[in-house]
Amino acid sequence: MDMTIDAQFQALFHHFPKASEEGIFFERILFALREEERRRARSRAFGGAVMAFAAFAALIPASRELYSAVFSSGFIKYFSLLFSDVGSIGLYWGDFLSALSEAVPVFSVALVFGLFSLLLLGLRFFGKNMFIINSIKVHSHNFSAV
Amino acid sequence: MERSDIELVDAHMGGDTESFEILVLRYGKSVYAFATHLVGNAAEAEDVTQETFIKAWRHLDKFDIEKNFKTWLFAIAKNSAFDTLRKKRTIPFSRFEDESGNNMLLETLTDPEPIPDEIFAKLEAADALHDALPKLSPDMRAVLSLYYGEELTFREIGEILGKPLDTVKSQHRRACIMLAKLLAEQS
Repeated sequence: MDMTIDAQFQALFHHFPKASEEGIFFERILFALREEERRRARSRAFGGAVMAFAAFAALIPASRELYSAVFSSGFIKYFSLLFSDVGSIGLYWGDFLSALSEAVPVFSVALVFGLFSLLLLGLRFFGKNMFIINSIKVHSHNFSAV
Repeated sequence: MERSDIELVDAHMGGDTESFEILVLRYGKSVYAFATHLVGNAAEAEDVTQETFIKAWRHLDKFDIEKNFKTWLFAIAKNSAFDTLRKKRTIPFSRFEDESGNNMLLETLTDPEPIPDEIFAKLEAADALHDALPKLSPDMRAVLSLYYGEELTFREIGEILGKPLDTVKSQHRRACIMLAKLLAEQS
């Protein structure tokens, strides 16, 4: 008796159960993976599009609000002094800067910037995932190469 | 030069989609063999293999790069195979086994003797394992398949099955005794 029981079990377990058709078997797995990747990219692209659309929709009233806030807060008046009364500003530049900064409609500016960033982020997400969807290729592998 | 598993995982995380496909080609056959040993059915083993790689692909960002990719992948395969068995409700237990898989009868038996060569040759030709394995519990099948099929260490098997080293060792011993007994019956 040459083989130990361990070697015998090893031989039995190495008596490989074969996949139906090796090429088809791998192609099926890779196809399922690509489908999964496409599905994920599609839902992310949709999420990106919804985010961009929502940000754009909110950006319109937020911009209007910023426009009116800039006028009602007196920011434009202070700002226009830069071009009309440079001498006084040079003399009282500290007071001018504090008055100007107090007149900035901070909330509206932050809102518009935030929404604009979200719009860009959504567009980037959408674009990136659309690129992934289009670049998932259907190719054959050399199954013996790995 | 062949790239290591970790290099391929890194490349995948960096956006190289083809590197994961290389891992599929590298481990596809092994995972399939392991799945076949566990579920005992070619079609279901293919489904388990496919599910394993999809789950691995989905959760690759959670993979700890300090750990062994093969061990991680086989743990996913084991869970997928056990899920399939659970759905089929075909998790058999020997009449002598308790709920944790301890077999009172087998504990008292001695280690199995090698099978005589001429009988072993017949068993090998008849693919005896195919008939014998389903009679073992899934845990036993997993231990044997990983130990003899994949040639993993008991420690690695313990990581895959989520069991302590000593449990794996004793489960391996019990599985060997039981398998030898089943093969002897077949011969």
